[in-house]
Amino acid sequence: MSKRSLWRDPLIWLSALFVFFLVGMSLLRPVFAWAFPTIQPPIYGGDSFLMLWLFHAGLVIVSSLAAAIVGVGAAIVATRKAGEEFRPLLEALATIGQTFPPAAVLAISVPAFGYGAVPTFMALFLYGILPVLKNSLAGIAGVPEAVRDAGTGMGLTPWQILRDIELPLAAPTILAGIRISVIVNIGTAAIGSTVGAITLGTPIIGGLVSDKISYVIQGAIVIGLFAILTDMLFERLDQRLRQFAARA
Amino acid sequence: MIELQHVGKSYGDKTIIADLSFTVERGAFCAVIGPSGSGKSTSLRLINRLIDLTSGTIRVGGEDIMSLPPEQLRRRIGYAIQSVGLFPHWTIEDNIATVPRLLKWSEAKVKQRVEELFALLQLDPATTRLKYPHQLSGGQQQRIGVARALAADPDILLMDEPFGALDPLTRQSLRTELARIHKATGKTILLVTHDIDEALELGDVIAILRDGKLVQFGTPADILAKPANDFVRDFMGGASLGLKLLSLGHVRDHLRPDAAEGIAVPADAPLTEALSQMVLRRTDRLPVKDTNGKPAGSIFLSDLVG
Amino acid sequence: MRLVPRNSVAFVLGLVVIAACAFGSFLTEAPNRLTSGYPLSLGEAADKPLLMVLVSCGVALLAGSFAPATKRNALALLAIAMTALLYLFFTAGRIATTIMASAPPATRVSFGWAFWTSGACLAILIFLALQKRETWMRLVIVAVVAVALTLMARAGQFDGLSLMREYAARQGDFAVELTRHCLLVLISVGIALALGVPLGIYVARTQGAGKVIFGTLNLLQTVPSIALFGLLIAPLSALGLGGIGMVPAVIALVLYALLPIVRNTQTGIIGVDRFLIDAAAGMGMNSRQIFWRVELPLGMPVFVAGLRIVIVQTIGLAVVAALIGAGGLGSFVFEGIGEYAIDLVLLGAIPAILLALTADFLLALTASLLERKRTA
Repeated sequence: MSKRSLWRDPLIWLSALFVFFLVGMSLLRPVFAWAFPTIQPPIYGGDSFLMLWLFHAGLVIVSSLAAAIVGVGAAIVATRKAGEEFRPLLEALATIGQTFPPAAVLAISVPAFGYGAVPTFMALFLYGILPVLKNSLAGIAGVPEAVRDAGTGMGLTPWQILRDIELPLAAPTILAGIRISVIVNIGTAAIGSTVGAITLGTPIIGGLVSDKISYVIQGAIVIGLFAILTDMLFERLDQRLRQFAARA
Repeated sequence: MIELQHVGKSYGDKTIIADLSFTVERGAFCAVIGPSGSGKSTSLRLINRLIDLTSGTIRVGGEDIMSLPPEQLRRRIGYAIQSVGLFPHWTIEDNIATVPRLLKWSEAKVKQRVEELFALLQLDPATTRLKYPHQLSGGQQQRIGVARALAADPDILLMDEPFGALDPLTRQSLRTELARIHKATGKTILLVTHDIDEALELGDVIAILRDGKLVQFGTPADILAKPANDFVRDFMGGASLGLKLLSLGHVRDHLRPDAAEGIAVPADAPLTEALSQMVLRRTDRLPVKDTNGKPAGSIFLSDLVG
Repeated sequence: MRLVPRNSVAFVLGLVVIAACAFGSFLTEAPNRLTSGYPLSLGEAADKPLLMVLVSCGVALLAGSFAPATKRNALALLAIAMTALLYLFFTAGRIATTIMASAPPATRVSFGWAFWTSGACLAILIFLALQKRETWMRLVIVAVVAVALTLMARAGQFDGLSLMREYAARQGDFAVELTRHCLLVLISVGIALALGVPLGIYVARTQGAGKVIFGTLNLLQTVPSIALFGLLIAPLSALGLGGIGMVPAVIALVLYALLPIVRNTQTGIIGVDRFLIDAAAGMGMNSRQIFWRVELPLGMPVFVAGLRIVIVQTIGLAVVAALIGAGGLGSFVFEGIGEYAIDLVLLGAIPAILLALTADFLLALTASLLERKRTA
C-alpha cells in the first residue's frame, strides 16, 4: 500500500482523530470555552479521557471475551449429538433475550449485583452471550451436511471435524455475532456509568445531570469514535476471514 | 402476423442479435431453436418489448411494435415462461385472470373466461380454482401458466422454454396438449426451445439461430432434407437426421391395400414407429389399423424410404 | 420406567424449578424501600397447602419429562407448566399479603432469585412447547396467562408485593410515563416508516445507491445511543428546539430505526423472484402495478420482520432517552437508580421488557399469518 493511499484509509485518520481526542482534549479548551462560555471548566475535569477509555475498553473486552467463550462453547455443545436436545432451548433463550432492552438488563442487574462495575460487567456479559450464541448456533448448524459427511468419510475424528471443518466454515457468522455483542456492549457500558461504573459515559451522565452540555459532547464524540473504530476493525477482520475462506 | 425485419440488439459493443429477419404467418406455429447463447430468448423478448431493439422493425398484426405503449402491446400477446412465474400469493383463478383484469373486463366476463380456459385445458375448476400455485404439481402449474397466457384471448402466444423444467413424461403430455390447443384455437405461436424433437413435433416452421443470426428458416421437412450448412446438420441430429425426417411422416400417408400378418400399427402413428416395429419383428411389412381399430391396409419397408 | 428422561430439557428445567424453590430465596423482606431485604425461602414463608400444590406441580413436571413425546403428553406438560407458573405468582402474592398483614406498612416484600429463576424456567418451557403449535394456539395460551395474571392483580392478589406497592404510590406517573414511552416509539417508528419505506424502494430500484445510504445508516447504528442523544442536544438547543426532551430523542430514535426499515424494504423488494417480475411485465403490468400487486405483497413478510426488529429496538432505546429528559419508562429506571430505590428501577425496567416482548410476540404472530398461505 502506498503512503498516499494509507492516509486515505478512513481507519487510519479516524484512529488519529480518536487518539487526539483521548490525549489532547485539553487543546480544544478555547473552542469549548467560546461555544459554551457559561460552563466552567469547559473541559470535563474528572478522570482523563484516556483513563475513562481504558476503564471502558477493559470492561467491554473482558465481558465480551467471556461472553464469546460461553456463547461459542454452548453452541458447540448444542450442535453435538449429546446436546442436540438443548438447541431449541438455547435458540429460544438467545431470541427472547435479545428482545430485552439492554438498558433494562442493566437496570435489573442492580438489585442482583448492587452498584458499580460489577452489575455493569454482569449485564454486558449476560447480554453479550446472546448474539454470539445465536450466530454460532446458526453458523455451525449451517455447515452443509454433505461437507460434514465428506469429513467423516475421509476418516476425520469428531474433534477434527469441529476444528477443521465446522469452526472455520462458521467463523464469519460467529465473528458477526461477536461484533454485535461488542458494539452493543460499548453502548451499554456507557449507560453503566448511571449505576456507578467509570466509563466514557461518565462525563455524559455528569454533564446531563449538572447541565454542562460541553461534557456531554466531549464524552459523546469519544464514545462515538470508539464504537465506529471498533466496528471498522471488525469489518477488516471479517474481510480477512472471508479472504481465507475463499482461498481455502 | 409477426414480422421481423433486420432486427438487431446490442449492449455496447456486444451484439446479441444481428440482422434477424423472418415472418410467421397467422395461425402458424413457429419453433425457435439454437444452442444456448444464440439469442433465441432475446428475440422472443424483443417482440413483446421486454427488451427494446437497437435496430430494425418488428410488426405484430401489421403494426409496428414501437408505435404502441409496451404495456398495451404485452396485454395483446400471451406470454409463458419456463419458471412458470405464477404469482404465489394469488389463487389459480386470480392468476389466470391477471390480464383480463388488467384490461378491466367485467367480473362476469372474467369468470366466464376462466371457466372456458379450465375446459380448454381439461382441468377441474372445482378442485383447482381456489388453490394456490404451490399446491399444484409442476406439470399442472405449467398448464395454468399456459392458461394464463391465453386468458385475454390474444392472437399471439410467446413461449420461452415453457416445459424446460419438467420431467420427460410430463413434457410429452404437455407437448401433445399444446399441439391440441394450437389446433383448437388457431393462435399464432412462437416457441423458444432447445429441444429439437419438441421443435420438430410442434413447429409448422422452424427458425434456427446461432450467435444471434438466423441460420435457416423453413418447414421441418425442408430443414431436415436440405440443411443449410454443417452446423444445422449436426445441430438437427447429424447421423440420425434421416430418422428425424422419417418421424415427420405418418403411416396413413403410405398405406397399401395388401394384407399383412401380426399386430397392427395405428394409421396416425409416425413412420419411425412403423420402422421400429419392423426391426423388432424382423419383418418388412406391417398391418395398419384406423382410429377405430379396424384394418386399414398395410405398410411396406420400401415405402418408408420411397 | 426409563432412567433417562425422554425430554431432557423439561427434566433439567423442572429440576431447576424444584431446587430453586426448595433452597433459594423465594421472596425477600426489607424494612423499607431503600434497604435491601433478607431472604425468605419458600419453606419458611409458605403455609403447607401452598407448598403442597407447588411441589406436586414440580413432581408432575419431572414425571412428564419421562413420558413418550406424543402430542397429548406435550399438551399435558404445557398445561402443567402453565398451572405451575400461575400458581407461582399466586403463592408469591399470597405470602406477601400474609407478611404485610402483620408487618409495619413501610415493609417491602419483593421477589427473590428463586422466584425469578423458576418463573423464567416455566415461561421457557411454555415458550418451547408453543413453538411447535399452531398460531391460534399460541395466541390463546398467551392470552390465558395474561388474563389470569391481570385478574389476580385486579383482585388485589399482588397488593402485598413491593412492585405493586411502588406502582400504587406512582399510579398516576406510571400511566403518564407508559403512554409517553409508547408515544415516543409510535412517533419515531411512524416517522422512520414515512422516510425509510420510500428510501428502501429507491435503493431497491437504483443501482449503486445502496452503498452510500447503507454506509451512512450503518455508521449511525454503530454510534451508541447515549452518544447520539448527547450529540443531538447541542445543535438542537442552538436551533431553539429545546435540547433536552422529546425532540432529540425522536430524532435519534428515527435515525436508529431507519437502517432496519430501509434494509428490509429493499431486501423485500429485490428478494422477489426475477421470473415473477418478468412474467408480470410480460403480461402487460406497468411498473406501478408490478409494485402494488407483486413486489409489495411478496415482500411483506421480510418487511414485517424488519418492523419487528425496529419496534423492539425502539422500545429499548426509548428507555435510554429518559436520560435526556424525554420521559418514558426509563425515567423510573434512572430515578430509581439515583435514589437507590430498586422497586422504582423495576417499575420502569419490567414494563419496558414486557412491552418489548408483547410487541415482538404480536408482530411474530402477524408474520406467521402472512407466511401461512404461500409456503412454496
